[in-house]
Amino acid sequence: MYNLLFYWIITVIIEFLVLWLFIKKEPSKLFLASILINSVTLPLATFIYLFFYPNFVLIEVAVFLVEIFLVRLLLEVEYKESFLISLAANLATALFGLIFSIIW
Amino acid sequence: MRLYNVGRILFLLLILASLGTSWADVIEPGEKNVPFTYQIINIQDYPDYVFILHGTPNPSYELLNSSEFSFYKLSVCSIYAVPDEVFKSVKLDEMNDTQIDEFLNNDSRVARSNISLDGLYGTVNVANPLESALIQLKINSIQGDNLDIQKEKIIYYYNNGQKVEKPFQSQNQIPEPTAPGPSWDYYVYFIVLPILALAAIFYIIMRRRSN
Repeated sequence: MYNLLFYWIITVIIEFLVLWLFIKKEPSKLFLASILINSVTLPLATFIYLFFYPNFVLIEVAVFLVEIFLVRLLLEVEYKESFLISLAANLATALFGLIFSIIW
Repeated sequence: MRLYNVGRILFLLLILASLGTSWADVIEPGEKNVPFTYQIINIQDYPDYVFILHGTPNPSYELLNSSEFSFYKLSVCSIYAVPDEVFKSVKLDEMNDTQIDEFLNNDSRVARSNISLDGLYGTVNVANPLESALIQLKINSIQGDNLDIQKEKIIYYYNNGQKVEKPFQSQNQIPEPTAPGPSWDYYVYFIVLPILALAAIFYIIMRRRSN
């Protein structure tokens, strides 16, 4: 369980930083958005990966697509921007996971 | 930075990320490492010897005592027993890695163990409560250059504090851990958290629209 919580916290922080890089205003709103988005996508993606369909790339793509809509809904940005934010955020977390798994 | 350049960078990162998944020491997403730790339970019965852990790619050498020890997950190690007076005379800390390897594997005064040790039990699903595995080793004898060690038992540690001990029936086969099912907090994480987050998102959107 601590493993899952650790990844959730790290993902929330990384995605918040990505949101902040793109939007650069109302940090508390961005942080809340990151918490809410990752509280939906990360547990569901992990659950699907663990128990139904262990395909990392496809699940990442699905999360990326869902987050485009969630970012647009919560932060009221254009689709073009939410697309870039979601892409950057998911690349950043995937890259972190990869590097972390090598070091750990 | 132009959008075109951002796109190229992101594309390169994606390629790098997908290449990385084929590396040997990368954990698959959703998996976690379960490390091995070791302990020599009767090391105090051999006070005239210095026990050394040596492995590939590391450690070059590490002195062992009665405490638990572990090493890099991809290393394969062996245990060596060096008579105390020999250890003091050879000065391992002044040798380079090749000289240490040469000394431990070829010097007739060094006793070599009959077993090799792995750094990692393996990878398991992150929902698996198994956290680590301790193998207790027992020295049977030291005769000439032969250090006879056997794996006595394995103790599996779980994230709820539970531990399960299993004796080795065969030196080449690790006794399997018993796997209890996921605990209630997994259901909170996988079901309650997403539902609460979705409800909060729905509430925010509805409130915004009503304004």
